[in-house]
Amino acid sequence: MKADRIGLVVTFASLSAIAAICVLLFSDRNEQQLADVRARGIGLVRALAAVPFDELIPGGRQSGTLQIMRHSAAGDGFAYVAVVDAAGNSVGEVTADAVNVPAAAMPIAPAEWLGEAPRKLPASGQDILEFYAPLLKDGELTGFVRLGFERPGATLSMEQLPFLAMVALPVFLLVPLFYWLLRSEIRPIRAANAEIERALDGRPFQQLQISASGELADFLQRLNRFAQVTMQRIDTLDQQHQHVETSNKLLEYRKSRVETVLETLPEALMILDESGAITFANEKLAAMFGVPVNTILTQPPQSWCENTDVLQLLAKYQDGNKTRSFTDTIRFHFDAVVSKPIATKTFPLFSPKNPKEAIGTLIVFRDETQEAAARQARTDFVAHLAHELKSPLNVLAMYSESLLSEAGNDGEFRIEAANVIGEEVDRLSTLINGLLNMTKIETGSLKPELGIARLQDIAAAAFEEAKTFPTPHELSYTFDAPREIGPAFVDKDLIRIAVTNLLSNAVKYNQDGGEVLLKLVETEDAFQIRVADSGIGISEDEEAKIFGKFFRSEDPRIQSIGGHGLGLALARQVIELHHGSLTIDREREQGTEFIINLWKEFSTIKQAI
Amino acid sequence: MKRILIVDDHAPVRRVMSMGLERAGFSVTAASDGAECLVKLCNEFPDFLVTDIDMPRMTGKELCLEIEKQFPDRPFPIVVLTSRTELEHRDWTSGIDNLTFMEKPVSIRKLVAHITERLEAAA
Repeated sequence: MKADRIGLVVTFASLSAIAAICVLLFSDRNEQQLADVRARGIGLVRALAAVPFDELIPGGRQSGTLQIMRHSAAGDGFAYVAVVDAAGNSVGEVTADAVNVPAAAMPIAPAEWLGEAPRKLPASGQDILEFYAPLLKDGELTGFVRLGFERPGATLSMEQLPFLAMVALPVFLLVPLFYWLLRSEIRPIRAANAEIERALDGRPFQQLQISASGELADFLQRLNRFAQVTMQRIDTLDQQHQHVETSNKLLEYRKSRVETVLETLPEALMILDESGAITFANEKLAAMFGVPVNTILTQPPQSWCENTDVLQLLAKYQDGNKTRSFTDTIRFHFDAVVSKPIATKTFPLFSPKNPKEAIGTLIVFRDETQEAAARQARTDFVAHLAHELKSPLNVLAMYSESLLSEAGNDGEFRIEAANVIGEEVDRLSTLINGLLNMTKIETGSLKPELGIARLQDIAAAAFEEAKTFPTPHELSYTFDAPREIGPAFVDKDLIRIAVTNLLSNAVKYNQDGGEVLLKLVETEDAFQIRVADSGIGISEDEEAKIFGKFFRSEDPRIQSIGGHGLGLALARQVIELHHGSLTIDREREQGTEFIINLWKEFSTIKQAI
Repeated sequence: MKRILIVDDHAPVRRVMSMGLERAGFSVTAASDGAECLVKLCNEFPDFLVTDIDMPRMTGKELCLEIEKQFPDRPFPIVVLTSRTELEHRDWTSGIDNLTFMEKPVSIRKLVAHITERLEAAA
């Protein structure tokens, strides 16, 4: 492209030179022709002015001087010759073909009688250079002779072509020569340019061959040197860049790893820099304050936090070094949607390189709702336990006191007291055993003694025991078990406790004419023990709660029946210890049916172990 | 003879308390829960009311609040027998006059002494 452009420039320059030369030649030639016309015109007009008037325009058939002029001057740009009187009226005229003499006012002042004036032909508008001279007779002005020639113009004539060709030919011959020379001269530059182009495309710069001489050779050598230094510099920068990039990736990886850890932690976290500005906040913190993380990082705390305790805490760390290096715990109830107990703990962060240099503070916001709930649950449990223990103790205390009084002498009362005391002791014993078992399971100290057992035998024993449970109702008892059922891998004593507890409830919470049904079913993947009654059933609200410790239904029909609210909780824990499930059949219309699922998979795995 | 009304869902407790109080010279009637007690109160006021807290149908707490509502000018004192010692289980009594607690296990002798003392103070 560049070479083409140079060629075009050279061609344009040569054409411009030719044009300039032509213009100068035409101009010079015109000047010359004008001078010739003037010389001829002035000479002729003077000669004609000297000719007597009669000879200029003779009468009759005589041929006058004017007619001679026509023949002699025709072809050399002659336009007309005319004789006019002093007033300018034509007296006689001779013209070239198709030419009319333009009208003109002739000068009056004698000093202007001889001269030239530009005219235009009336029809064609052609420029005419007119020469005029006075005609005198006896010293008196009788008229003027006017001689008109076509004004030489800037038109090319065929005669000029050879001359022009002679001028143009060397120019046209020289142009390609110059062009070729120019191209040879710039060839090393073009090669350098191509190499630079290659280098710009990302390929290595090849050293240039120095084929030139003089300043161009110096230039190319310097260019080679410059390219070499540049390439070395680029290599160094590339290496540094790769090093920086690797470091950045490593840092980014470490940062994301740390952030992932910080996001995974259950606590809400905030990191302050040494000036107290927040530099990190995890999503849990954002959720706690109900604003996006970005808001916490970019906006002042007053704009996203209304809690004065938190604002005071943050303000403390903007004071400087004084309060930075200690841990602190404050508690506040955060007023978001629900008031929650939140504990904050702050830890100073130190530079890994200089452990004495504090670089910020980590603030941990811990939601203590669960801990508070656990504390409350413990308190409730102790209160329930105290109540459950004190009620039978109260009966025992009253009866023992009465036995020691005069009433103790009454034989009938003594028998009654012995029975009541026995019942209450049984009640206490059941409660304590249940609590002990449950505590053992919860603390992991009770390990089930797993072994191959026949569920029919366990169920049958529990069923027979259930039939002896005291009940005010007339009940029918049904035990439905297939003759053969695969052996299960269970702790038979624990399973018996679970089944007995379920059967005990089925007996207790039944009604007159009701049925207690114990059924064993073997499905594809489980052994099922189903315990059903025809009692008052369980409401939907209570379904979720009945397996909780000390849960007692609010239904007065159930509250009137004794119980500690531990039987179902213990049964479920026993079954879960076997990785089974204890659920309620929700589709049952009347009464309640509990379903124990002991998964065969668990038995198989345990046996294999 | 002062009339004592005992409210407890546990029959042996009703029986042994009745016996102890009768031996101390009181006339005793018993109800098995709060609802039955309210029915008895509609017929006749006792001189003293002894009630348990945890009972089916109507608890001791509900009974006391209902008595306060239905009989704001009741003349008889109430003693509530409870195994709950925590204060939050007693805060519902604020505004109810002439009501005291006795913590289980209850000694009948102490109960008699308490009732006697309260009745004498009222007299």
